[in-house]
Amino acid sequence: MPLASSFFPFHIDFVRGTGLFIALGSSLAAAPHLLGKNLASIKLALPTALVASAFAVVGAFFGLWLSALNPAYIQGSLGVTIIGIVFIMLFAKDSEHPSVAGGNYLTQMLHIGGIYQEETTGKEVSWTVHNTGKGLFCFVFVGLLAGIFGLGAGWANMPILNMIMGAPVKVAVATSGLALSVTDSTAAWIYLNKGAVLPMITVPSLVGIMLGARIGSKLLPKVKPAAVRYIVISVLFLAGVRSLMKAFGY
Amino acid sequence: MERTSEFKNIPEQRLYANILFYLNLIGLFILLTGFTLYLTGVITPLVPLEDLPRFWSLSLDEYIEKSNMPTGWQWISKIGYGDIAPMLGIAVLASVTFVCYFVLLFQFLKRGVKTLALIVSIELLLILLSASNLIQVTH
Repeated sequence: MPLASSFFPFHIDFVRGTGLFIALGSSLAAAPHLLGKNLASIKLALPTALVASAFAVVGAFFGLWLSALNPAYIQGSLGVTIIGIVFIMLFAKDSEHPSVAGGNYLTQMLHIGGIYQEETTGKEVSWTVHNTGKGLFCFVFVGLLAGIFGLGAGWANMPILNMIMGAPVKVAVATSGLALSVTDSTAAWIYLNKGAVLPMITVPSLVGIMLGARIGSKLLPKVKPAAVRYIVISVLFLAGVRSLMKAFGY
Repeated sequence: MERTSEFKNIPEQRLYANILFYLNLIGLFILLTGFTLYLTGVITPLVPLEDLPRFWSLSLDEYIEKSNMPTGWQWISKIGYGDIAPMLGIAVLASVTFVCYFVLLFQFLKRGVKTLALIVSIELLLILLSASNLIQVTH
């Protein structure tokens, strides 16, 4: 989505509509495999996705209203957001198995936790989360950003689930995708109903991402992420700068 | 209250994964069929393919006004047009989560897991509300 909005001639409204469907398609395609491996957790995804999707609806309407006033507002704030994401990705340190002192009231009420088998060691890992209230509050912003910009927001879900709520990194990555499939469903319907989905842009992207995500969900445990991470960071940085330049008419 | 312990995965996880997997396949098949019919020109589009580049840089309001494209659920009545046909697959994929959540709701109610059933119900209402096109923001 950042690439399409920065480097292609499509109007930002269509790019955001397509962006939501790309995020939705990739999360839908990867989720079955990750749920089957018990890496994605429905118990963790349900409350986080509920908060995010409620605010994604608000964000979607706000974004469409804002771009009707002046598309440069969206283009400029998208550029700032993308550069912000780059810095989060550069400096956020994930923790493979964060130490969780003990679930709080919300965690216990929702029984958030689970077990998965760590493929590299063959051991079963039990996990739960803490700071559930704080984590859920952060998903308010995730939902708003997803709705306003048509961003998948996996870059934000993962640090919240891992660093704030204390879910193991693999559970955080997988559950982030599952939660996205819910969050983006609500916002995607709004863009679809408004007519902001052009099949010529959306369908090839959607099919490509669904096939790629299915392969990616199987390859991910075996791939060293460092090189991919720096390529993504570099491309995102360029897209952010280009988006800002577009907002200022360059 | 839920009876499973904190560290157990809920039994619905496998069911959710299976439904998701098969609905994805169905959605993808419908999407590709519609798009192939559009690209090959078997069905005439509302906006001819060669004119499309003139439209995709317009703002949404201008595009709707000039192309006469349907909004809301009006696309169903124009499904016979090439550029509208892929909408069916897109709508199916956008509905996958709704169907999965609907099944979850019944499973949770059957098991008496009230808290999770409540969360799922609210989410279902949210998806229904956004899909209904009932909320309108004017500017």
